[in-house]
Amino acid sequence: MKKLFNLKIFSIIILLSTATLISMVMIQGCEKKESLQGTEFAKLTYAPDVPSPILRDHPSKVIVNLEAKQVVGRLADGVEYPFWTFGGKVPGKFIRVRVGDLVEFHLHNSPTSTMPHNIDLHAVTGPGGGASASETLPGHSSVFSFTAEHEGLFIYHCATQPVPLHIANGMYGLILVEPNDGYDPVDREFYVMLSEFYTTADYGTPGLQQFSMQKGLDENPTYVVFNGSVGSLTNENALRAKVGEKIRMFVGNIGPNKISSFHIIGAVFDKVYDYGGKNVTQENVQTVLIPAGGAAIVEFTVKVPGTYLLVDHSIFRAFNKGAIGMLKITGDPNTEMFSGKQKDDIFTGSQADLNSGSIDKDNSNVLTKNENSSTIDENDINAVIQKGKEVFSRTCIACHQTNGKGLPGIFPPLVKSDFLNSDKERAINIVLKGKTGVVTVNGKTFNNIMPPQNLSDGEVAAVLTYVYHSFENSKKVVKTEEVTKQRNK
Amino acid sequence: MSTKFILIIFITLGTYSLQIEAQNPKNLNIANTKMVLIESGYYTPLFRQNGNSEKEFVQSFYIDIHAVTNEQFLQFIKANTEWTRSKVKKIFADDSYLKDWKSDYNPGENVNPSAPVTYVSWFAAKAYSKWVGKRLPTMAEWELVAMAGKNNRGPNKDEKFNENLIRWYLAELPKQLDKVMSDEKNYWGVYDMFGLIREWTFDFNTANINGTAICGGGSAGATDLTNYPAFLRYGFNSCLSANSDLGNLGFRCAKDAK
Repeated sequence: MKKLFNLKIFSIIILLSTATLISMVMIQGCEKKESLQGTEFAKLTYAPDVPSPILRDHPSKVIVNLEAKQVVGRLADGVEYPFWTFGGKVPGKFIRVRVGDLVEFHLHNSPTSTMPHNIDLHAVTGPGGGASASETLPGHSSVFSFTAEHEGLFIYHCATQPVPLHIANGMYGLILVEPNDGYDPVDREFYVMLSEFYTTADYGTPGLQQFSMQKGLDENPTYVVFNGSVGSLTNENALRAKVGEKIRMFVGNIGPNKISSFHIIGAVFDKVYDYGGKNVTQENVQTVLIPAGGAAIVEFTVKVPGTYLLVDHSIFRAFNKGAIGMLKITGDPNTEMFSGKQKDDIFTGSQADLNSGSIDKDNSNVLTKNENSSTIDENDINAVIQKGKEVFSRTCIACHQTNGKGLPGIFPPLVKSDFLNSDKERAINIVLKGKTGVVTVNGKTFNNIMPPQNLSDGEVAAVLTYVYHSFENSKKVVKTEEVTKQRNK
Repeated sequence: MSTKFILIIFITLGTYSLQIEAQNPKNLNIANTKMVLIESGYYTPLFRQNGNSEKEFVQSFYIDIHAVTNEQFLQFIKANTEWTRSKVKKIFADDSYLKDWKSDYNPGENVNPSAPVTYVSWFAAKAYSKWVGKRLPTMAEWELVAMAGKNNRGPNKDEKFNENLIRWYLAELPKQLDKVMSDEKNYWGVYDMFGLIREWTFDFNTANINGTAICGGGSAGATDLTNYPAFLRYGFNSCLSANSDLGNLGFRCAKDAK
C-alpha cells in the first residue's frame, strides 16, 4: 500500500515536471516566432519589373489586391489572343512578401469577366493553395489570409475548372517569399516567365486567335514565349544592364505542359536556387531545368558588352515558337575576357592540308550531283520557281520562315520587302557572300548575321526568283548569268 | 398641400393600373414562351454520383424554345412587384439584380427588349417559372437539349462542335446582348442553348456535391476528361449562389410532359 502511494507521488512528480518542461519549450518556441508588426499594402509589378526588396526586419500583415481580368492583347506582331489575366497582362503581377508575413489576399473578378476565377498560390500551405477560398464570380471580390511560411520563389495560377484552360489562357504569375534577412543585394532584378499558347491557327497567323483544345491535349504548343508574347523581351523591350553588374532573375515556368531549359547564350549562372527553393544549390550552371508549375532564381554577372539571348534551349521553341528574349549589356569592351573576331581568312577546303582526300572529293561530288539533278530550262519560269521553292525550303526557312515573315526583331521578313525589291544585285550578293550588321526592312531595323550560302549559281538564281515571285514581291527574274557575274566581281 | 394630394392620387392610380395589368391575361401570354417536346433519352453527367450508373435516363418534357427576354420579365415584375429591383430581398437577389435596367419598371435603351434577361437570381427565375405555370429545367434536362446538334440528338463528339463551344465560352462579354433566336435552332427546334447566355437550372448547385473537388483537382472521377465545355459549365455553376446575378446568366422554363 505504501509502495503504491509512493508510486503515485512519483508519477505525479514526473507528470508535473514533464508539463513544466513542455510549457517551457512552448514558451521558448513562441518567443522565437517573430510577432507581426504593422500593416502594409503590397506593391505589385508587371514583368519584367520586380518590386523592391523588403527592408523590414520583422513580419507584417501584408494586403495584396489582384484583379482577374479578361483582355484581348498582343501575342505576336499582328497576332491577338483573348487572354485571361491577373492584373490585365500576362504574366500576372509579381508579388513580394517576407517569410512570416500574414498575407491578406483580396481577389477581385472584373465585372466584365465571363467566368468565375480563383487563385492557387504555391506558397500557400492549405487546401488548394487558396483556390476554393478565393473562388470569385464576375463582379465580386473574395478575401482569404495565409502565413507565408516557406521562403522561396513560387508560381501562382487560377485553378477554376477546367484548370488547363484557365492556365493556358494566361492566368499565372510569381510570388516571392523573402528570407528573414533578405537576399544578397544585386544591381538588377528581373521577372521572367515562360509559358505556352495553343492556337487553332499556325504560328504567326495574323488576327484574333482561338484556343485549340486538341493542341493542348497533344501537348503541342503553337507559341512558347517569355513574358506573355513573342518579342516581349526583344529590341526596344530588351532587358538592360551594365558590364560588371550583378543580375538576379526570378524565372518561372507555368507550362501548361512543357518543362523549360532556361539558358542565356553567352552567360554562365554563378548561382542557382534550383526549383526556386531556399538554398543556392549549384554554381557555374549553363542551363536551368524548370518544371511546369515551377521556378528558379539565377544570379550572374556579364563582363563583356553586347546582346545576350535568353532562350528555352529546347531550341526549336526559341527559333520557331517565340521563346527568345534579349539582355543588352552596355559598357567598355573587355578583350581579355572575350576577344571578338580576330581574323577572317578564306577557306576553300582544298587549301587545307588537313582536309585532303575524301572530304574534298565528296563535296565536289555533291555539288555536281545537285547541278545535274536540277538542270532546268531557265526560260521555263514555273520550273525555275519550283526549283527555287525547293532550295528555299531546305536553306532559308530556318530563319526567314516558311511564310517568309522572318522573326520579329531577329530575322528580317521577305514579305513585301522594300529592301529586297529595291536592289536585285544587292540581294544576289547577300545570298552569295552573306551580310552582317544593321539593315532596315520595311521600316524596322535588324542587326544580325546571314552567312554566305553554299549554293550553285543556278540555285541562287532560282531561289531569288522564287522569293521575288512569292510573298507579294516585285516578280523580278534572276538569271544564272547575273549570279555568275556577281560571284566573279 | 394640393400638389401632395394630386401626387397621392397619381400614385394610387399607378398602383391600381399595375394591378389591373397584372390581372390582364395578355401579360401572361407575352411571358409564356412557346415550348417544344423533348423526347426521353440518356445523358452522361460529367461527374458520376455514388451508386448511379454512368448514364442518366431523362423523362420526356417540354422546354421553352428561347430564353426569357427582358420584355417578358417586365410583365412578371409588373404582376409581382416584390421582384422589382428596389423591393427584392437581398437573400433572394444580390446587389447586381437587374443592374443593367434603367429603373424598376423600365429596362431602358441600353437593353434590347427581345434579348434574354440577365442579372437575375435563381430565386427570381424560379418565381417567374411558377408564375407562368412552369418550372426550371433540371441540369440533366438542360444538358440533354444542349447536346443536340443541328440535325441530330447528339452527343456531338466531333472536334469542331467542342472547339466552337469553347470559343464562345472564351469570348468577351458583349456590350449588349443580341435578341433571342438570332442563331439557328437545334435538332429539337430549340434556340440559343449556346452562343448567347448561360442558363440557370433547377439543381445548378448539385455541381457542389463534389464540393471543393470542382476546383483544382476536380477532374478526378469525371466521365469525359476532354469535355471542356462541360467542365466550364460545372465550374461556372459550382461558383454560383442562388441569389447570384450575372450579366451572362439568364434562364428558360420547362414543364413535365403528361
